[in-house]
Amino acid sequence: MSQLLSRVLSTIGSTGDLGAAAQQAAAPVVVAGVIVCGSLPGAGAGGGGSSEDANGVLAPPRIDATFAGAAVAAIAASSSHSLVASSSASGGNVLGIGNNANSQLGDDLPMPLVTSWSPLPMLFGFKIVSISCGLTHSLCLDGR
Amino acid sequence: MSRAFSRPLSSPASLELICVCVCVPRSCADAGKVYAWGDNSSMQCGHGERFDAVEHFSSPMTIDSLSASFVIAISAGHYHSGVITSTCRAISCPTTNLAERAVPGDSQGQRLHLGQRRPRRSRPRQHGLARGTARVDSLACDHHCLMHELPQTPKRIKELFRVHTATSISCGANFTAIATSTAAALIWGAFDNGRLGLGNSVTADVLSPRELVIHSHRSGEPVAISTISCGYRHAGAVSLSGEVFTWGSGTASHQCTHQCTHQCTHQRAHQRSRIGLYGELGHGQEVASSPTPRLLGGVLLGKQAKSIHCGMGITGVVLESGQLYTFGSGQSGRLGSGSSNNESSPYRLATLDGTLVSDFASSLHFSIAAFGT
Repeated sequence: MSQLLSRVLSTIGSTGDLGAAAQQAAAPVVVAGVIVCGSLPGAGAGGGGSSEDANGVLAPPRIDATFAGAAVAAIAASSSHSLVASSSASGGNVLGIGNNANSQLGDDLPMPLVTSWSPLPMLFGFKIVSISCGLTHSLCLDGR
Repeated sequence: MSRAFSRPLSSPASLELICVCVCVPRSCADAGKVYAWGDNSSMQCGHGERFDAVEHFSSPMTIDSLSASFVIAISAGHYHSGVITSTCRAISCPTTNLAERAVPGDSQGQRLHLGQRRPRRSRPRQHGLARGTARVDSLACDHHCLMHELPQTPKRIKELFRVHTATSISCGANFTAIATSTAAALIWGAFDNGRLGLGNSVTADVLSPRELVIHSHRSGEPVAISTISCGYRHAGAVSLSGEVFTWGSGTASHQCTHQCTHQCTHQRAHQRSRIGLYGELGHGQEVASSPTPRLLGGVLLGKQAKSIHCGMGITGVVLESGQLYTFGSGQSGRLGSGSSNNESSPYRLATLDGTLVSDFASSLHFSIAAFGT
């Protein structure tokens, strides 16, 4: 596979062996995460801060630290912003990244651009079962 | 165009079960709440008339008019939104009388002149009416470069919705599709680019849901649809048997009129449009566009697909086995292929073999794949 995804798994392994754990089908713990490919202009690779390689392709980071012990409930992306919802027994969390010029990530986050995966405080603890990104707006479904 | 990733709270089977048990009241507090925020210039947040002057909502806010409904799926398009609600749950809510509501005329496909004030939609309106099944709400209309007279009164629902139960919804750039519990697909909106998959005979925007029949290339029989996804100028569907179909991506076929100025974004897109620009249909370089659903062969033939995501010039297919295939525009490396080259055939992200991908979504510059769920 590509150098890009090799770097993905390499990164995963070096930051907590999430990738290795994910390959263990019988792993007793919930292992979940998100792999990001590509880049967000002005934000580094998917907002994760990885550096650009010689080919101009940015290494995809992941946000496993936030999802420790939680499952990915939903992901969504539009042209310029993206949301990821996690869920756990203690509640959920929603992370966003990208264009926030229209508050599509909420005014608690920097405007007009959120350059790293950041939690949306207003949705902390929600049990998000579905999430969707429009061009400049966002929807989520709280299943509590 | 975010993918219309919608994970219904209830399966079609459970919906049917709930329908049977409507005599058992359920609390409205059980219903899922829909939150919307961000740009509201087209009323795509659906918060109602009292927020007419609000151009954007800075924080997630509940859509009050849906509070009495049991929402099972949501989707956000470019300038519109959609939800599916179960009337089965809503029946226990005294404020809801879905049987008498009608659909609005300005659903997807409604064209408004750019530069003019878009009409404010005071509250979610029904696209579809169903008896004891589910309904589809549209939170706002899309805008485009052609002017159509705005219906001032709701029009009656098509008979089609009386026999279908919507289970998932996908809002694309300016079109919308739903899958039903009877494994059918309904689609409506902008007709150009062949994005509706209804064939070249459709020469005008489809303003109400129309059944999209996908025929098996082997038997010619209609294919049972599991899920459907609307992108920017293309769309895709997965059959119950795991086959993948894609369509659209043709040239814009509408003729911009005098109402369409040189500043019309759609006209500019029209001028830029070139067949096979990205290869997001996945049929190879020879078949860059298709006005009707076309079976995705090649490496995906015989494989069991689980879901499809259609974005802006990019498509991702997640298999039941957890493998992920991407194709289309490789802008910024979002295909995960290690380069920014376009791929006109499905590209398997091989090094993810040990990681079971459960979902995929893509923005203009990067893609995200969920695993471990």
